[in-house]
Amino acid sequence: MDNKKILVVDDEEAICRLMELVFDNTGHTVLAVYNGADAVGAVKKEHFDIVFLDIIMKGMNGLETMEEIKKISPETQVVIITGNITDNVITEKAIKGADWLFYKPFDIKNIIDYVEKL
Amino acid sequence: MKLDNKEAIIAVLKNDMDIRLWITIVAVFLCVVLMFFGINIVPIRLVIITVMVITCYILMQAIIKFDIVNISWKYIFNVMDLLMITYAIDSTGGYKSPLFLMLFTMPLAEATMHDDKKLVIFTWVLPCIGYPLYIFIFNIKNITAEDIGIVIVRTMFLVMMGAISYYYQKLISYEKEKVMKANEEIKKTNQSLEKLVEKRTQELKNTQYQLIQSAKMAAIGQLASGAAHELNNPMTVILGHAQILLRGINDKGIRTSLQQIEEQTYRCKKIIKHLLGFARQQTLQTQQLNINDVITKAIELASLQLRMKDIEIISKLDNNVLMVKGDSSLLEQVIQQLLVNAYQAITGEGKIIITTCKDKDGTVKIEVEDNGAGIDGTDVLKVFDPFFTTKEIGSGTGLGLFVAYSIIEKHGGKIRAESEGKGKGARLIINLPETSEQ
Repeated sequence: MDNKKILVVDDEEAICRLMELVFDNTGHTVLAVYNGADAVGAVKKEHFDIVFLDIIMKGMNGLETMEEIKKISPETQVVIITGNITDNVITEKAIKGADWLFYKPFDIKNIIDYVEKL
Repeated sequence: MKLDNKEAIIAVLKNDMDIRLWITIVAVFLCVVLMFFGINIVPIRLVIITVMVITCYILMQAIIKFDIVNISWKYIFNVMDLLMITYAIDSTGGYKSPLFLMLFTMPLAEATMHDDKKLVIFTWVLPCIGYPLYIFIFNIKNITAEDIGIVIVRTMFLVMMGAISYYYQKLISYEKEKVMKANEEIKKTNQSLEKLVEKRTQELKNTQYQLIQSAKMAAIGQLASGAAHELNNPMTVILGHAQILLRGINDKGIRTSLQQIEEQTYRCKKIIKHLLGFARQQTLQTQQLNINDVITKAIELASLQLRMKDIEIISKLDNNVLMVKGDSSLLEQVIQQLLVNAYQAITGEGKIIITTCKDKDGTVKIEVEDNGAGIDGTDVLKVFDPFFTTKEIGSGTGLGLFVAYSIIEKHGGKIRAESEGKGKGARLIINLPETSEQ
């Protein structure tokens, strides 16, 4: 099993802590940030295999963040994690541009399986 | 109507006495009183005969009216009236008597009091024949040629009075008929106005209810959407940590508790999904749909579950093609929800009937009827409220019909529930606008 470098972007600190705990226990490297600007900064500094990205955030939203990440590192897998399934243009576009999607609240088993299969 | 003699006579005296009789009775009474003072206005035998005639009339009317003899008492009365007047004429000078004028009262009285055409003709013809007949039979020896002329003239007056009475009765009858027709028209108009008012009031009430529901739904939708978003993150954290712990803990007791946390979080997820489903603002994936196809598919999807409870589904789908514009998956979801509700309302064996047809207002009507537990009168309007449920806590979210209502409303349609009460089954009725587009 490859050690993957994972970036988690969510303005909810508890979600970030959870994702760190999930992937620490599975042997992958995790970095958590709380906004889009920090996420873009992190991607510029180092390569990440996967970015778990929330959509609705203050400042840069998930769609803008995803577009920037794809410009910097097109091979990085962007996975949307969101609870927002209401009619929202940003959400729809983000979902269309992303590589995968998990709706909150998600099963951590599904998240782990996805990362393992990548 | 069978009455004993005494009751029959009293009934006649109360209800059926002609005004001419009362006048005659008063006149006879006055004559009798004056006789005691030695004043004889008319011969005593006339008074006696009059009393006898009145008595006979009352008795005969009682016999005819309250027994089984089928003759109109009015004809007999007029014959007796004629005989009495004839006797009065005979007692007061015969063909010279001025009392022949009383013969005028017969057709006139009938024309004004009883409004019976045949009776008016009878009382017109009777004295016109009776009077000259009486004169010629009983006074032939004394009558002169001049007197014959007077009798003829008098008879012609009788004919004219009869004719006037006849046409007067016709006029009254015509006016009465006009009034009756006008009253009937007014009554009909009143009735149709009342029906229209009732219909409009009901429509207004329905519209008012729909508006209130829509406003309620919109407010709830906003609240639900906001609450759902806010709840998703904490639920993700709770579920995630419970699952992390489950992966690392073997203790049975702790695992049971963690599994409970996991289970209840899934339950919250379901409720939030429903709430968000209701609040979803995404554009409907509309297309032309044959509603019968939608229902057939929904029944197929629900049939396995329904078989578990020995419930018969009867489809009465319209033979005509009923097209609506809508989102097929959402409409299937609604029909499935109605089927599930019907299924859950039935204990043991039961029947669910699904009908489609074109309603009177041109909309496409879908009806799902069951013979299950029914809905209480006060609850019929509440079934579409969010979280309303009559099931045990934990058996349902109470959001199924709430979401169904929203979906139908988004399709421009209406949904309502009907039930005769607890234990008498229920009907869920949907009306959707028909589309004529091809």
